[in-house]
Parts: sequence; C-alpha cells; structure tokens
Amino acid sequence: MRIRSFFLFCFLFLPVVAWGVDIEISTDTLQDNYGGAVVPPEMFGGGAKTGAASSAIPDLLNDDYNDDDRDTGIADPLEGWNRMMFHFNDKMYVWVLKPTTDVYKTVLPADIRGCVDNFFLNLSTPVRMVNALFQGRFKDAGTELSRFVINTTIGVAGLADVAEADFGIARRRADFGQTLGHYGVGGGIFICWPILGPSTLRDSVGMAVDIFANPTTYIDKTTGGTIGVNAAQMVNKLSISPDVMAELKKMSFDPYIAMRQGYVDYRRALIESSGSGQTSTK
Amino acid sequence: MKKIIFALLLLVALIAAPTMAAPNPTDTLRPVLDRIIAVLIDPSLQGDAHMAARQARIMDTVKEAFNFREMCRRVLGPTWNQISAAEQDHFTNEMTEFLKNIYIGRLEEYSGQQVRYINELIRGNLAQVATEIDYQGKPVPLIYIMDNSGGRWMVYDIYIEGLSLVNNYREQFRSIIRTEKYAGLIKMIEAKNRENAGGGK
Repeated sequence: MRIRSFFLFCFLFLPVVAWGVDIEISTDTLQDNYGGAVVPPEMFGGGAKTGAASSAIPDLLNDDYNDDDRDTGIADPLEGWNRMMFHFNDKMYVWVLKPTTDVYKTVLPADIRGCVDNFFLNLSTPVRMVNALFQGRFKDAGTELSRFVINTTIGVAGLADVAEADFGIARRRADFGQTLGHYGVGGGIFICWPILGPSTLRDSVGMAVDIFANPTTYIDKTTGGTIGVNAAQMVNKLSISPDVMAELKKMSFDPYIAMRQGYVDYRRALIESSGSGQTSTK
Repeated sequence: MKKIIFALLLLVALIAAPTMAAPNPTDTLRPVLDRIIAVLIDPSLQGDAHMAARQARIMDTVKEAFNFREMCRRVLGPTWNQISAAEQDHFTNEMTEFLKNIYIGRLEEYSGQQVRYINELIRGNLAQVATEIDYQGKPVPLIYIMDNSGGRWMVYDIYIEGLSLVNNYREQFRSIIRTEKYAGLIKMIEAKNRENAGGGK
C-alpha cells in the first residue's frame, strides 16, 4: 500500500518537476536533427545525440573491455536448469507462440499490430519516466513525458507514435533493473526464465517491480484480465520481431552462451550509458 | 569556444603525433565502407544471378580493412598460443569463411541508408570509430574497434548495441574448448561452414 502511494505520488508530482526540463529538450532534439552528424572528438562522453542512440558512446578501449584474456565471469550456477529453460523456450516458441503469432499476423495487418504495440508502450511510459528520474536522467524523463503527452493527444490515446514519427523524439529505455544497476547493484546470477527468457537476479527483481508499477497491470482486477493483457503484449512483441531464435542458432556455436553473453553485455551497455551519458543536463 | 576546440584539436594532434603518419581510423574506414555500399547498390551486380560475384567483391574490400587474424587471435584467447602456426592459419581461414557466410548475407538487407560517423577515439595503437546506421527505421549504433600495430588501421572487432562480436564468440569457444578441446571446436566450425555453404544465404 505504501509503495503504491509512493508511485502515485511520483506519477502526480514528478511530471510537474519534469515539465520545466521538457521545453529545453524539445529544442535540443531539434538542434540535433539539424546539426551535422559529425561530432568533434572532444565531445566524447558529452552525450552526442542522434536519434534514439542518445546515450554517450562508451570508451571501449580501456582495459575493462580490451583485455585479451579477460574473464567476463558471469555467475551461472543454474546453468543446467537455464539450458533446459532455454530449450523449453525454443520449443515453446516454435510449437506454441509462433503459430499463435502467425495467426495473429494473418488476422491483423502490420499497421494495426503496430498500433497495439504503441498503445501498450505508451501506457507504460510512467515506468520508464520514474526509472529515468531515479537514475538522475532528468532529460530522458522529460522526453518520456513529452512523448506521453504528444502520443496520448495527437497520437490518439497512444495508438500512433507521433512523437517519434513526426517530432523525432525517440523512446528512452529505462527499467528498474537498470536503476538498480545504476546504483551499483551487480547483476547477480544469470537466470533463464521460462517464456520470459534471459535475465539476471537483479533484472528479475526489476522486472517484478516494473510489472507492479505498470498501469496495464491494473487494467483488470482479476488475474485472468492481467494475464490476458500481458499475453496480448507478448504475442504482439513476438509477431513483430524477426525469427530471432533461428538466427541465433545459425550465427552461433553454442546458442545458449551466445544469448547469455549477449544479454549481459547489452544490459551492461545500457546501464553504463545511463550513468555517464545523461548526467550533463546543462 | 572555437579557441578551445582548436586547442583541444592541437592537443589531440600532439598526443597522436606518432600515429599521424598513417591516415586516421575514420579516414581508413570510410572509403572501405563506401566501396562496400557501392558494390551493394551497383545495378550491374544486382539479383541472385550475381550473388557470388557481388559477395566476392565485398569480401575483397572487407579484407582490406578487417584484420581477421587479429580477430581470431582474440576470439581464441589463451588457446591461440597453444596451437601450432599451421592450426592458427587454418582456424583463421575457417573462421573468416564462417563470418563471411553469416554477415555478408546480412548485408543484402541494405537499402540505401546513410552511415553516420559519430566520433573516433584513439589510444596508443587502438582506436574506436563510432557510427550509426538506420535499421528498420531506428538508428543502430555500430562501433568499429581498430588496431594500428601493422602500420595501418585495421578493424578487429565490432560492437553492436554494446555487444562485441569477438567477446561473444570467445565466450562460446571458451565453453566449447573446456569440454571438447580445440580439436572439437575446429570440427564444429568446419561442419557449420559446410552447412552454411549449402544454404546459400
């Protein structure tokens, strides 16, 4: 109950704070769009922005990244279980989810599926905004807010992503796992969840918190309703993404390790960019 | 502001003085990527009939700027020094073939997007060139990691959205070598190459 009122407080009060920042961002984005693509090297780490890749370019030449024999040391004590879940997901994807999404794809044209996706993404804006704020990324929080306002109004309740299509304001990625990482919480052990896929202990906690904070969780009070909404969201996500699993198998010699390493590196890059890139708020 | 930029550039130039003899990383990379794109959009090389010729042309260009041997050395990690020179050559050839089959095929999806050069960073013999390309309407960051130890800037790793090509294969190989040894690994790569050669794309 207490946590819930805290989120309520965040949703109601923080937009007011972010609003002031928001105006500044809009002009910023415009300048970036018209400015040249080449950013001088002295701006390294200064948050060079072009489109969605707004995070600062990381320094990949330091020893951390470049040590020849470095051990990335992902703790994976559950490897046996994880590999089993990985194969389960693989089969699940091929036998259950893929046919479902194929039917869904046939029934609904791509632009309507895009609308459904946009609708859910728009509804989950508060989650990204609050997490961006927790990470001190005030600009990104403001960006999310302006996207929410634009898409909910001009984009008709979020069915179209007008903010990105017409205003060039791309969605910012922010979740609670990232917030925890931002404050130095390590990933912990690697976990491959059934259906949900790769995660770490930290990101699993983050995922649970985000689901709790996501307004779509409260669309229907019954469990059935919640599952229905989440399933719609997931089927939609799968129907849009290309055949990732098949691609992964083709490209790798041990798809499980490739996926594990990929997930951990992707999350690390995301957390590092949230730490260095967005702190310069002028 | 201009003065500061000038001073910084001067500083960068002074620090980088020893490496200045060769063209800088971006200037080495840009013409190569431009030429790959030129092949991809060349009307006389379009279509399935010219696929082999097109891919051969691309591979020739890629080899000018990509140091596959260095890439392989890093992918194998400590194992590289434990195998013979002949095995190193064989591994490099097989791995180059594998990467060619996988990634040259993906280049076919190219449809005229502009490569944007964001910035470069040089430290000693290493450099990173950050670029961005639109994929399905979204900008995707692509960072090339280059090495100058051979007197010319050559790419040995690519980061896509924080994922390192070298690092990903190294982790897979580390796990395979632990159970199957190097002999098992090289057999797997050879088998994969035969499989991919049959699949065309």
